[in-house]
Amino acid sequence: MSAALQPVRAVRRPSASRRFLSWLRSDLRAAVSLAYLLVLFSLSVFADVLAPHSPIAQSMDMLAPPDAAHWLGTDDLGRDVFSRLIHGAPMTLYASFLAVGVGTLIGLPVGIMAGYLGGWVDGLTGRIIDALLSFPSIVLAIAVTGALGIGLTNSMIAVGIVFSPGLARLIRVQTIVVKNDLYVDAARTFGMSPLRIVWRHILPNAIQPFIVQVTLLLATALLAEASLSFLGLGVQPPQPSWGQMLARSYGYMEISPEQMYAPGLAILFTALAFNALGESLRAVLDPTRRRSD
Amino acid sequence: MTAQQPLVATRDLGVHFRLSRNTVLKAVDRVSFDVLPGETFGIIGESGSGKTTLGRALVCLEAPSAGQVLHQGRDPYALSRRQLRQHRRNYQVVFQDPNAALDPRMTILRSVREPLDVAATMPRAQRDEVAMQAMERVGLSPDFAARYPHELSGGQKQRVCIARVLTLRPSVIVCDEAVAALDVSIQADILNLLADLQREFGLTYIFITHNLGVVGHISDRVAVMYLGRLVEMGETEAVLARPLHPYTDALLSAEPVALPSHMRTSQRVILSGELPSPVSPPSGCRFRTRCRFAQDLCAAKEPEWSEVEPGHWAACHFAGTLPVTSSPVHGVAEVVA
Repeated sequence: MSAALQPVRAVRRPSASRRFLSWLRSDLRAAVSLAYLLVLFSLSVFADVLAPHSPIAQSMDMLAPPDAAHWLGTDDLGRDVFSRLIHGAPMTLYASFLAVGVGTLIGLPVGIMAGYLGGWVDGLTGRIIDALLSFPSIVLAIAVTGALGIGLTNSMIAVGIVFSPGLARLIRVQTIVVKNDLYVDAARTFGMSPLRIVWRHILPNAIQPFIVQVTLLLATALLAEASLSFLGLGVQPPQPSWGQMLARSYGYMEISPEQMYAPGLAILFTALAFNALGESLRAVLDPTRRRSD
Repeated sequence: MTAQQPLVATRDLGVHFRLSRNTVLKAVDRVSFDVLPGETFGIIGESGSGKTTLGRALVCLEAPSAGQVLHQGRDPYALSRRQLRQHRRNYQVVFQDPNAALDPRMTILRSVREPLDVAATMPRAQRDEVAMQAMERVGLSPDFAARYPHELSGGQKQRVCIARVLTLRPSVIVCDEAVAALDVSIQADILNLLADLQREFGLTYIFITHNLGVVGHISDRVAVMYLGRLVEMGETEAVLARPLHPYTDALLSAEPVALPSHMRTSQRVILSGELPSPVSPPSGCRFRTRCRFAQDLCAAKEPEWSEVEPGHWAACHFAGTLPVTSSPVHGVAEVVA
């Protein structure tokens, strides 16, 4: 019988940084998205140094096509589009991350609490979530901005509040699924406290669709920022933001259609990069889908 | 019974689930037994008999709806939440499905170390060491430490689960169908491992299974469960050789015998019909709908749970008077022996 108990040998696994590099090499989409977002991030940090012109300096040279001095032309007030695009990047990233951050900060704990505790807590939060979801989101955002005051930060907090019920509902369902898993029962028999069970078992196993949803919402927040700036509730002129640039170019669509390409494509690519990274993250976060290399 | 304090005992234990406003499922109903230190207590029953729920109640995963679970004579639910968390480390369980019992996102070492992390009585390095020792004790090489559960086979995962509960040095381990999900050859390995560990650490087992071969091989005493109730309990040899309850008799005769049909001595008792719904159990004796000896009395009156022979209990009006057959138990026993 001791023969049956002979230890079985397992294979060594490579270090974490090695695995990260080999992941990037094998996943081109993730590598490109990550590179794009890194470039965008450095543009944001070094906007003052990199932009060839001031983003708010006006000139008489309005709605000009691209040339050597103005690489992407000028807008309706003769401001350099390329410089405004660069200066808009930090605004845009700040807006997206703020909105998603606020949504997560509210939605995640509320959803986990509702799912884990169940009973009347779940019933009550469920009603509140339903009420919030049945409200037209843009109206809600306008109401919150009205209450907090106009400005990018406030309008993005409003967008975050609009995001929170959907996120709460998503993590609630996942929590309910995971909390009935046997390893949660096992942890209870070890005398683990409920808070620690949530932190060590439920959160890591329930968070995956949430992360993917968050990256998708980063893209949605980008567009929400554009809409709210369009309505005059977001970034205040002359501060540039991509949404606001797109909104302005809309007014000159017939005279100078090329105006909307720069901010429009910037928004599109950034949203795509967030989405692609989210998709790739989903695959890499799941150890059962990870190849045992 | 004896002067020894039972390590685990139940007193008229009931675990009920409310299915809707008017229907209550009594998964476990008025069950009483004692488990003495150092013994292996087997609980046999078919699926739906409530044996898993009973096992969960013994380790405080289900709260009793009626009666009591006693750990060394004390009711764990009388403890504060904090005390209960401390206390229950002594009463561990190995689940049927090792795939579901391990967190898929934790490495094997982290899973094995988890009970020690919760207890937090020793520094991290020492916890790692104790976890590695436990893994070695159950026959897993240190190379497994960094792997994930999905990279292991079922038998290896069950060893991880056993190593994990061993780190706490519990006095009682409830094995809920601990080998049912494994191949027969691996079953024998795991059963032998459990037997070795019992000798080494003086463990007390409560072995829940539907497999008579396993129970006959490993248990000192067995209890037979039917529809949430105990129908028979006694020394393993006595129950297997001279069953008092017709249900036990039927279970024994259903066990495959490794002999050609013309050489078999015993007649098979074929149970007719399905397990009745535990939501509305039959009146009187619960087994009467499938019992070949059923009389009018059985429908009218519930049989008493009584000690028919010394240490041999049964719940049947005609216990000891029925011409029940007895059959030798085969199966895993030979493989392991």
